[in-house]
Amino acid sequence: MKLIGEGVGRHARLLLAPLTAIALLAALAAPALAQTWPTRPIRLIVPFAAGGANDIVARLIQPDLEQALGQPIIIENKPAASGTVGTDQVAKATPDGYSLLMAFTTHTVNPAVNAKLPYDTERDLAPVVLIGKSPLLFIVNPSVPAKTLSQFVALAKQNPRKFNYGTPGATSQAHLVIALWSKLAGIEMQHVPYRGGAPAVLGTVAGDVQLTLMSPIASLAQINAGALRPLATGVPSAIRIFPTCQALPRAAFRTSKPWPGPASSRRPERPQRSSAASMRK
Amino acid sequence: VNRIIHLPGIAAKFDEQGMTPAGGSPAQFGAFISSELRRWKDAARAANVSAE
Repeated sequence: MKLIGEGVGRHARLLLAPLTAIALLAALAAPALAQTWPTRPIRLIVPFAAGGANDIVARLIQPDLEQALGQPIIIENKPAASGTVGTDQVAKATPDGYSLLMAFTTHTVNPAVNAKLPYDTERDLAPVVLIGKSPLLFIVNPSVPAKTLSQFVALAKQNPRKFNYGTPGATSQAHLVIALWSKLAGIEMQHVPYRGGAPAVLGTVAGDVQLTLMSPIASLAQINAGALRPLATGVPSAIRIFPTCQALPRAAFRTSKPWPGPASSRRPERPQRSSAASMRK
Repeated sequence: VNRIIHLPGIAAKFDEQGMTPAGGSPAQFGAFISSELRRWKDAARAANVSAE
C-alpha cells in the first residue's frame, strides 16, 4: 500500500529535496539600461529581517558588487507580509536599474497563495540573475527528544497540536512545505509565522517553537553552538556539513512502510498539471 | 554578479554553508521563475495553504 497514492509522487521532490533559491530581480526592462549605468547609488531591497538567508547573501556579495559597479549598494530591509511589502516597493519603483530586489523562493510561493498581490510577479519585475541554491534543513530545539525526523513524527503523533513550528512568515516556502509534509505524515502542529528567517531561528533557539525548516545560511552559527539540532535534509550535499543529519530516502514515499509515517486517510487534492522541477539541482 | 558568485572568496563562503552558486542569463532565470510559479501553485493547493 502506498502512503497516499499517486498524488504524493509529484510532491516527493518538493518534500525530499527542499531547496531555497536566492536571486536578484530589478525594477527595469533589461534593454532599457542607460549605457552610463550606474551613475549613482543602487538600492537593494531585502524583503525580510536582517540576519536571514537572503540578507546574509546580500551582504556577502555587496562589497564585490560595489567594486564591480563603482557605486554604493544601499541594502534596505523591509520585513513584512512574507516579503510582499519590499517586493512591491521594487515593483513600483522607477524602472531605471537603481532599485533591485533580493528575492528568495518565497517570491514564487507568494502568487500561489495570495490572489491579491499588489504586483504581478512576472510582469512587474525583471529577472537579473539566480545567485544560488541552498538546502533546507528540518531543525529542532535541542530539548526535543527526537534524533531523527521519523522519531519526531512519532512524538508529534503522540502529542497532537503540542508542537509549534516556526517559519519566516505566513505562506512562506517553509510554511507550505511543513504544512504539506505534516498533512502527508498525519501530524498536527501549530504554525507560528515570524518576520523572516532570523526571528524564526531565534524562536526555535528559545523553544517558543520546536521545529523549523531553514537554510544553513541562517542557522549555521546556532547549529554549531549546539543551540539548534538539524534532524534531516533531502539534499545530500548538506550531509557533508552536518554529518549527524538524516538524509531523507528518495524512495520513501513509494515503499510499503514509508517515511514519514503511517498513511493518512486523506489524499491530497489532485493538482491540475505536473510541476516542472527539472531546474532544481 | 555571475563573476562575483564564482570568486574564490565568495564561492568558499557559499560552500561552507552548503549553498551552490547558480548564475546564468536573465532569460534562464525567467524560465526558472515560471516553472517555480507552477510548482508552488500545485503545492499550495495540495497543502491547502492560502492567505486570507
